[in-house]
Amino acid sequence: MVVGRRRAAEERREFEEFAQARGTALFRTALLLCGDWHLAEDLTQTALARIYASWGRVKNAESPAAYARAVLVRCYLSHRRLRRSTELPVLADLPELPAPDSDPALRVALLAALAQLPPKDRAVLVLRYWEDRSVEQTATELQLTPGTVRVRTLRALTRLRRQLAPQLDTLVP
Amino acid sequence: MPSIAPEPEPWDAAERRGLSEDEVRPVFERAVGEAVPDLGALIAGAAEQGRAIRLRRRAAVLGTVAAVAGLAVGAGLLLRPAMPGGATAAVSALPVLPPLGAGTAAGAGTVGAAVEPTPLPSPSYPGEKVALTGPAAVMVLLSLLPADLRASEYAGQDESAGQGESAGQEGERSATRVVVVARVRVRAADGTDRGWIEVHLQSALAPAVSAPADAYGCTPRPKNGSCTGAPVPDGSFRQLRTDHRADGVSEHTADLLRADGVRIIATATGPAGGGPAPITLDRLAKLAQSPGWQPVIDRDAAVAAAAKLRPYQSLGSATIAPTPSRPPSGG
Repeated sequence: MVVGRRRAAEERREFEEFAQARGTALFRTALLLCGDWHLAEDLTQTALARIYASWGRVKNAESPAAYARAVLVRCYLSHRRLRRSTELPVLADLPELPAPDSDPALRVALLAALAQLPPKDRAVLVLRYWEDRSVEQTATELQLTPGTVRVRTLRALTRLRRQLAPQLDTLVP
Repeated sequence: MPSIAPEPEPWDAAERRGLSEDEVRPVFERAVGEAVPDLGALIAGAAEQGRAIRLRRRAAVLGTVAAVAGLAVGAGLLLRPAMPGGATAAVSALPVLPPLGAGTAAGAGTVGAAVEPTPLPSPSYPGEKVALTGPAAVMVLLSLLPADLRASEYAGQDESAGQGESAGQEGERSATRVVVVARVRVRAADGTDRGWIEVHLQSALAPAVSAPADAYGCTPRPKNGSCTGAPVPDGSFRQLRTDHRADGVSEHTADLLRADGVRIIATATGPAGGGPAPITLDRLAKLAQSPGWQPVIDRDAAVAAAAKLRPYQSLGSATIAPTPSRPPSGG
């Protein structure tokens, strides 16, 4: 009994260290994926909860960070698959806590542009260009073929360029 | 014949202008690279949720083990006359479990008592019944708001899993489950933002066994706030929690696991930038304990709610007027 409690406390400590180290990065990925600050917090918390629930498996994974990212993306795609009766306007809550040196105008423009993309296209873009995953790694994480990832990347990038065209001069100095 | 040059599309210009693949990452970086969440609250919440997931898994495993044991005993009794003596003795040594749902019987032991199942809604919801929908949950929430608050933006999501379907991931599988979230932003009469009120409803959770007493025991306690958890005389378990977050936002949570296996988690969060929760903890507890929260409702109520709420529009009283609208579709 005492051993069990000690092990649980140790697991909790390990998890908290991991979450402290990776939580902010996961949140930023979630924010790019969903475009809503509150929802990004919810997705991050849900992903971390699932990671904690399976901590024994996660900590022994080849890359716990990659595992966490995969859980987050699955949470996001699963969330998008729910029968959504209604949604908040995408930009209703942005940005509530502007951080120093952040670029709120850019954030709003980018998240609005990303919001126009289908969820999987958005996930492809975020994994490829934010998480620096290769085509093959992205394909594995999203359970797609590499060819599909390439097609989705091209399509999503084209649409993103189109969406951002009016602001492009200010976005890319 | 003069040739007419096509008007260049804006995105053609963008393509020519750039945003090459190499420039996407810096744009992402500038947009969200400095976004910082309230990590402490996220981690504490995640640990609590994760612990609840573990408890649910354990309860599910216990239930499966007991069901298999029950089947084994039943099969053993049927085969008993034909079995040789040694096998009969082995079967006789198994604990005698009551039929599922029969409650604790003499000799049933703790396993039999622990798996007394919660009555589940029928997967097909016979008659004019349907699983609670997001809009219907939002309407219930609106009906329970204090008169001095009005609601604006809202969100409602529903997810129900039929027999054998997966209701989520990471082993969250159940026979029939309803999961609904309703969230409204609330404002004072003068339009001042007062924050959010959110209700999660989950049905078909593990029965009220020893685990909830532990899960609702306020461990860990909030660092900056208060928590009380205790059984309620009607057989429910209830935890009332207040957190004063580092960003100045106060949050009340009333977490109720009813005896019928329905869990209601009501949260009242103060406005971004800091402030008290929009309603008192006592009021939130009453909201969570309202009998209005039911996982299965009349089909008419679901259709009416879908007609009253329109996506992407605010929820001021003027916009709740019934308007023809299709019920929400999947996807």
